[in-house]
Amino acid sequence: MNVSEMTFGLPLLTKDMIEQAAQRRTYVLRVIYAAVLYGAALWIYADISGGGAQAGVTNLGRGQGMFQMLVKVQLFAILVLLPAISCGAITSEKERDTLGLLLLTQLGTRTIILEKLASRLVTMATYQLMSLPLFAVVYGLGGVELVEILMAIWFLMLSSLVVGAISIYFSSWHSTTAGAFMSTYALMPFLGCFGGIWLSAFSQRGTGQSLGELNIIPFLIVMAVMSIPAVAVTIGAIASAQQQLLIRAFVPPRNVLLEMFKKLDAFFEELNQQTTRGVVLVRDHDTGPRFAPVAWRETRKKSLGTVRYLFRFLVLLEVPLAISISWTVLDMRTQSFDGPTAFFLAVLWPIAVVAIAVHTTNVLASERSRQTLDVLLVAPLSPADLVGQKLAGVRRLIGMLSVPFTTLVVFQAVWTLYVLRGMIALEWNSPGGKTFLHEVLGMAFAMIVYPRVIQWIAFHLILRLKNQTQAVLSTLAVVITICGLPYLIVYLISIGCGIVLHDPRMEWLTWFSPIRVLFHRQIVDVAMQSPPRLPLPSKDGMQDRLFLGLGLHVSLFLAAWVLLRHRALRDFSGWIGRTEPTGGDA
Amino acid sequence: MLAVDVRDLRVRYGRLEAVKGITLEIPPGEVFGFIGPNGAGKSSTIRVLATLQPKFEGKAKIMDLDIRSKPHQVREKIGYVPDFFGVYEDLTAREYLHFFAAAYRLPISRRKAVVDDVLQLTDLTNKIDSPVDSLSRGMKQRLSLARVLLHDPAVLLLDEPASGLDPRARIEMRELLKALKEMGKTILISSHILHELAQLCTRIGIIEAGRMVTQGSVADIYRQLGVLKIVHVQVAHQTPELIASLKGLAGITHVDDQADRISIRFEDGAIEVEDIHDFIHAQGARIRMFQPEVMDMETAFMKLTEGQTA
Repeated sequence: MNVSEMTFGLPLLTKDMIEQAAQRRTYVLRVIYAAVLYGAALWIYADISGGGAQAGVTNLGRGQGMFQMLVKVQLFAILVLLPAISCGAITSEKERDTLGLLLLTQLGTRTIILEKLASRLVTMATYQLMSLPLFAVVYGLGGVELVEILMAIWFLMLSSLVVGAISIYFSSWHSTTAGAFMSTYALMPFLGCFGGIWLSAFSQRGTGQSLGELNIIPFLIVMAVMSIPAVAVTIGAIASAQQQLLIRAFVPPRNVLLEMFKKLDAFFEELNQQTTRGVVLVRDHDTGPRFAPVAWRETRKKSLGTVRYLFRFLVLLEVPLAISISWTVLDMRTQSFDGPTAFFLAVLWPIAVVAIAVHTTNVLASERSRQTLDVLLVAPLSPADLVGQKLAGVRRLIGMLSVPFTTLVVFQAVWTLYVLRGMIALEWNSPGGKTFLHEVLGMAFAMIVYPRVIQWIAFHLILRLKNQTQAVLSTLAVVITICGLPYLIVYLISIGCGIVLHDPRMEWLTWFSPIRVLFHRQIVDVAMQSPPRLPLPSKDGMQDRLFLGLGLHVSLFLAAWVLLRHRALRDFSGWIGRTEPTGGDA
Repeated sequence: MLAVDVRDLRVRYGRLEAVKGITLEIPPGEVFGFIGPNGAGKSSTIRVLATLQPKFEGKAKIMDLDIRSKPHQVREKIGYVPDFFGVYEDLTAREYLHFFAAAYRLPISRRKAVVDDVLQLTDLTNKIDSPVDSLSRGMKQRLSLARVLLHDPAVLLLDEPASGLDPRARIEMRELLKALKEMGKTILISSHILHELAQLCTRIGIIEAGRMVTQGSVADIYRQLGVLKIVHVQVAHQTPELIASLKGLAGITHVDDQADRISIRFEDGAIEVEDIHDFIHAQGARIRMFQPEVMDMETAFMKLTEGQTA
């Protein structure tokens, strides 16, 4: 077969592969994936070999743990990365107005869907191929049969097919990549649970049996039967995608959030009409764009900027929070020093991070997509004025988000000081008192500073990345890295240098992570109850250094806030393409 | 003082040099047409003047204000219409204009009157409360022009304002630009619709592959081209000898023997059109049609450019 035959036999697949090969993102993701995979393998290897101090023959026959980890990491990668790769397959054609041209060619809808799916599965397969050396190590260590490895590969292939087909279906259904992302990722937790159950069922079938011992025909029949659900879901998703491709090829993009809020608006107005005969306490009074026109538009015309819609969002967050807090207070059995704050923080912070990242990146992304940015940049507004006004809606959002966080801070303080005071004597100089003060100060600091830091990170990224989806995902990746990296470094140092995790020299590193501030008590509890996986000083030492650590953290994040803001204002014009004075005579 | 003063302008995008040393002088009140094929460097030049291209070499001034050192002051002097519709579709026409009136720091007391004036000028008064989204393409482009007139700029930078408009909208746009010309605005306009520029512009510049091929008044450019005129002739009993003798006539550069006519190109000044008429008559041919024609802008453009981009 010559080159031209290879190139034009599967035109769409070839085109997509060339496009992906030309994107820097492909290589960045691959390197990140390899780093995570091999990092995790190193972690497990260090664990089974006793922190690196022992190795060699003592490890023989202990490959099962590493094997299980490899399969889980690969499954996780399929659930997380494959939608990121696949969701734009069809929507990118819609966004570039090229789908119509594709549909006019001799390529049928089935061919389009299958070639799009294949192009994404090939990319995912290249990721998974990177694990082959690790499977060889696992096999070399022993404790894993070849049958298990083959089954794992089959399981991962089926998982890729299912996730890929579902992503392609949503890509075919939605008009924007962002919409396809949201729908696919909303489904991923369910697929993850199903995949976990399925994986354990697979694991039970072949464990401990060598290829020679296996009764191959019944085994293959069982495997085939177990694969039926995955194959059925894949075929169903492909068939539906094929059907939707034509039906929804030219459906205009919808602002689902705005539509949802408008429906809620109508519902509440109807409710208000029936209950109070239309009494309105605070009326929307729009004076038009008077002094800060950009801020006016951000806070009056954007769905996440107006008071009315922000109030709806607040109600969605605050009402479940208030009910849960009331339930906790009333239910005496759950009374402990901790209270339920950590759980709410763990739920609220991800919501806050995503909302801030989406809103911040949208302020420039929407101007770019509507081609209004140049017109705005020509107006005689200074960079500080422009950026400040553009972020007015985000500031409102952050202000709204501070309400549930304040509720939590106040609740934690009241809970600790009054509700449980009878149970534990709380002196300010006692360890309990210091912990309490540290927690409340930490949460208050987090509430004020973290959202601003996230806002500026997202703003930096949208300035550089142009594409909103990329900027949001990158913001989330940066936030996860900031939270997790200090702990990862501590763990790797402890493995590499043989330092015990309890060593106080290691503890200070964890103060670089917001996790330490937000979940201090839970980390301490986990660390004290389980074998030493997390750095933890002695109790006395910890109390002594509590405020020193918090001070370090506060200084670091305040500096980050100021620096990020300063650099965003300084670099704004350069990145956005706007001439600023270079001489001193401006 | 020049309204637009560009000297040896160079713009690079990575390795690509989009503008290669353009020099341009536009006095106040002039309408300068910028003509060139796609990718010739027109938009890059206009973006430099609109303070939207920070990286460039050479000098660029608007109303004697250096774009590098005084971009904020320059922004107050210019009105920029990009080659796409830069309009917020979630606003009404009134909100849109008030938005930019505030952005250009117009006193609140004057805003309503100014908005009414520009709407009247652009014939959009009856659309004042219509959502921008509902306006036609031509109306959106007129709204863009209304926007740039709010702060009464001295220089208008219009990047292909008529592209994508239907004939009626194009004529309306041309009439609007004529009105602005009469108001004394300096206008730098790029376009592909060459004959419209010829009617509107006091001077034109032809740019190709990042270089200014020529600039001057329309008449100057015809003169510079050397071969400027063409005459279409129909004769009874046309003979090959007549064609041969025409080709040999001094001043005539090309004779095209077409099915229904003879098209004769000749150098302006080297021979007069009356002399050609007399010559044909002297050859014994009976003239049915004698139609002199000035070379149109498109022919001039095609002659001057070779379809290259930077």
